[in-house]
Amino acid sequence: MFFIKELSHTILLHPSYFGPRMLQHLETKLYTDVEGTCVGAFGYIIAVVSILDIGKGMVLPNTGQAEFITRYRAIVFKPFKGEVVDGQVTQLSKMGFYAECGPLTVFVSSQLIHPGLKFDSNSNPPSFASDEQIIEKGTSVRLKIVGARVDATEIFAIGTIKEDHLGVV
Amino acid sequence: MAHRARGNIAEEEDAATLKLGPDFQNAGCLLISEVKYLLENKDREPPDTAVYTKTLEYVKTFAKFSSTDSAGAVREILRREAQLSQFEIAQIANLCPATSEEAKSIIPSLVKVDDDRLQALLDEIQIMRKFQS
Repeated sequence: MFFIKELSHTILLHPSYFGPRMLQHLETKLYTDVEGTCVGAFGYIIAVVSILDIGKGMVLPNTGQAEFITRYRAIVFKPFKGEVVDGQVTQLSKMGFYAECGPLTVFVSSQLIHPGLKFDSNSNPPSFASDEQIIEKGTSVRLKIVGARVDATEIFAIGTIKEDHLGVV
Repeated sequence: MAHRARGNIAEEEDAATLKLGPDFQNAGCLLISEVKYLLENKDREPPDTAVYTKTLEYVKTFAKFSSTDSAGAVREILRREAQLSQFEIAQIANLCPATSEEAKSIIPSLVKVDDDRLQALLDEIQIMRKFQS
């Protein structure tokens, strides 16, 4: 699920940047620091929408660097257990397939694919196929997230399509 | 010890029962169509990150409503049903289930909503999708 969320980020600014273009520099620094990163608790930070407060800028003793605590609003993506999402299949093997739901990669094990769908390694491209459905690279699938492991820099999710109303869309 | 405490928090989150954790319980949910609009109408250079490009591609593929007007109208339709939470509104608008049975199967927390009323909402959204320019 995509959210719009208020977050904060601390920037340490070297004294050589103190000057007329400091604000611009702080903005670009914020963008490059946070966009595209994955924070454990908040999920993927996709893009900063607006900066609410760039911070006061306290000069720290010893180093002379200034500390800005900026508050900004960003689009974040965080998957939840039990959530149903659409995704696009990127990779298949007899173990299952990987689907991409935005920044998140979800693995669907062959155990969690309907038994009617059989892996066909001779087809080109390789696919899971039954009489009515076929899943190959590029297919859009609807899947349910059954578990997610949240690391400091990445999220790994496991999905299932072995339930009603899930599968090829 | 610390690791175990974190595991417990992750265990508590479950979209099926609308438990999103303290950080997201009251956060604003975005429809895929709204994310598409926000990303395409930025007033500065788009960031050059893998996360950004993947997301942009994803929202272009799966956005159900082509304009902000139709996305706004769908929000308006779903807001009339007071029982729906932010998360459920976004899920209905992102997945566009056709029947109330399908909706309750993919969004389990909708069991609290009456079948006929839910069906009426879903029908209205389907019509919106059909006639959006």
